[in-house]
Amino acid sequence: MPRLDLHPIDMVLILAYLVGVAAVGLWYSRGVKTGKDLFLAGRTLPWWAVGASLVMTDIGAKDMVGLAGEGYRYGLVMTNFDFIGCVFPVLVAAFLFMPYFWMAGVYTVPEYLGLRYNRAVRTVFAVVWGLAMIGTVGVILVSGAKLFTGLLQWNFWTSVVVLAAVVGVYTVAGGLKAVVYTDFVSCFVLIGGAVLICTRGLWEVGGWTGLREQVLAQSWAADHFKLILPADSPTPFPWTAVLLGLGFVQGPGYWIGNQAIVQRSFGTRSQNEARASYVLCAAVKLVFPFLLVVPGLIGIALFHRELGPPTGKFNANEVLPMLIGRLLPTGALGIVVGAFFAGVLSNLDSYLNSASAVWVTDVYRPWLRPKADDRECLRVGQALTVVLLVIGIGVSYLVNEVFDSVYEAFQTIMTLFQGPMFALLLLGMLTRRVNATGGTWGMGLGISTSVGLLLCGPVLGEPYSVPYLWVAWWSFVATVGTAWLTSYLAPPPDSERLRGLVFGTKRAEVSP
Amino acid sequence: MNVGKLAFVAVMLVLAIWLLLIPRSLIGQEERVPPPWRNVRWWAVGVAVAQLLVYAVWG
Repeated sequence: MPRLDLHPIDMVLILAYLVGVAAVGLWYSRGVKTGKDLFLAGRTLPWWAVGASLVMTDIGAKDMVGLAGEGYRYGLVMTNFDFIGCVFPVLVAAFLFMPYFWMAGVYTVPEYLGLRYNRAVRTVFAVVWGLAMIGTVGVILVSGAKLFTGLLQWNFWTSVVVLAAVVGVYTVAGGLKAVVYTDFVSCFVLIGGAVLICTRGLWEVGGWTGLREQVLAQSWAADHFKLILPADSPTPFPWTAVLLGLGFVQGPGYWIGNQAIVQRSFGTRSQNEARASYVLCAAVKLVFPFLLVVPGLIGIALFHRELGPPTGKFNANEVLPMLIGRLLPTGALGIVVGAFFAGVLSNLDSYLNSASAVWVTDVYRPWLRPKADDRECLRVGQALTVVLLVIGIGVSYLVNEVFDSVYEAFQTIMTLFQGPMFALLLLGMLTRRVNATGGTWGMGLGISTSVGLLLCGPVLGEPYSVPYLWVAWWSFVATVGTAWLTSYLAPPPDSERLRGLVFGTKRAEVSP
Repeated sequence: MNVGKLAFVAVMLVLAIWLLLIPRSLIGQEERVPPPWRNVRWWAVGVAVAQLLVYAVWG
């Protein structure tokens, strides 16, 4: 990975950004007095800030580095992770699912599942999500640290500790409000950095036409300008898997069932503002995929001799740092490194705050201290944020040792339970017949299916490995089938209990 | 148009139509419909159509 020599101007820009973010975060930490303030920002957030925060929660350094690498490997088909995997489910979530979360007046997604099914379903998904979010914190720390190690020659663990320290300061003190407003600032920095890389890169390779010619000249990159690959494509992304696995299961599971995402909408002032924030996020996501994947194609044009075809020892994480080293002049470098910081910090703060919300709301309060008041939840939530950050640092060691591609690590973690959880949310919100018995059995068989399919490759050998989009699809199908059938083993749920939780039933909107 | 492209365009078309037809009572507009430039429904339809065009052109 090429080393970047930062000019004093670059250093000043980076420092200004870090100080600015910390200042914004600490400014908004005033008035945090209860658990509701910490986890839902007292339900005072405006739609535009939440919309930007949704984008930043999803896109971080892992996406910038990972998608540029995967863009080099697979081409424009990777934009589907933001198109059919984001725009489609976000719009569905805004108009179909989000109102019922809002009416239920919950803090977390597992809390909704507990109201709709039972305590067992709530706790299992809370623990699974809680653990997955700690894993995600580890993945984010690794992606950030690798970037700064490669670009700035920082020591890996120094990078991890610096990132953890900066984000810890304002996330512990300010909770969701600090997270959302710092994300809003970071969104502009990230977009600025991504635009700079793309425009400079396209200029260098002779524009879009030059890029096409140089990429398509590589025999292994013949399909790199296709958004939709044939059903028999040898890549993990034939259109059938992308549509069924990503578009219908993994995308909706992420945008409708991911606590770090949904929690932002719980913090808005009204249902309508929550809906508007989702639509803003979808609009931004129409542009972002190109800014993230096109650098991978530019990488092919500029570095195909050094990096070669994406097989064997190809390291996907090297593409973007090489581009930055080659393309960016003094000053611009500071903006882009600032953008990386923005991506890492906004991802990190979001998952930390949400992990803390899940552990306090769905584990601590119901199981350990049922009579805990909101002030106690605030203290425990803040202490837990520090603990989770420390555990995340430990997890980053494992992630660093086991996975080659940071992006793959993130997707693998999410695949385990996104299908089953989305299936239960879908059935829970759209049907009145599915009950607690069905929910419990569906959850069990769905997660077992995910684990079983993911283990096929490591246990039986590479020819039997199942691409993760198909894992998501089949675990979803297993959960829907099992939950639906086993629901008939017990009576339907009481209709009064379902009020405000299921499509077609109404309850008064929870006041802010 | 190949089958994959057709499927993606169809999904986005169905989404856009659903967004157009979803009852006002389900999106908190039963009493008053905001003007189009402040109506979240119209913005959502616009985004869905833009996504449809992306698939239609580059799919």
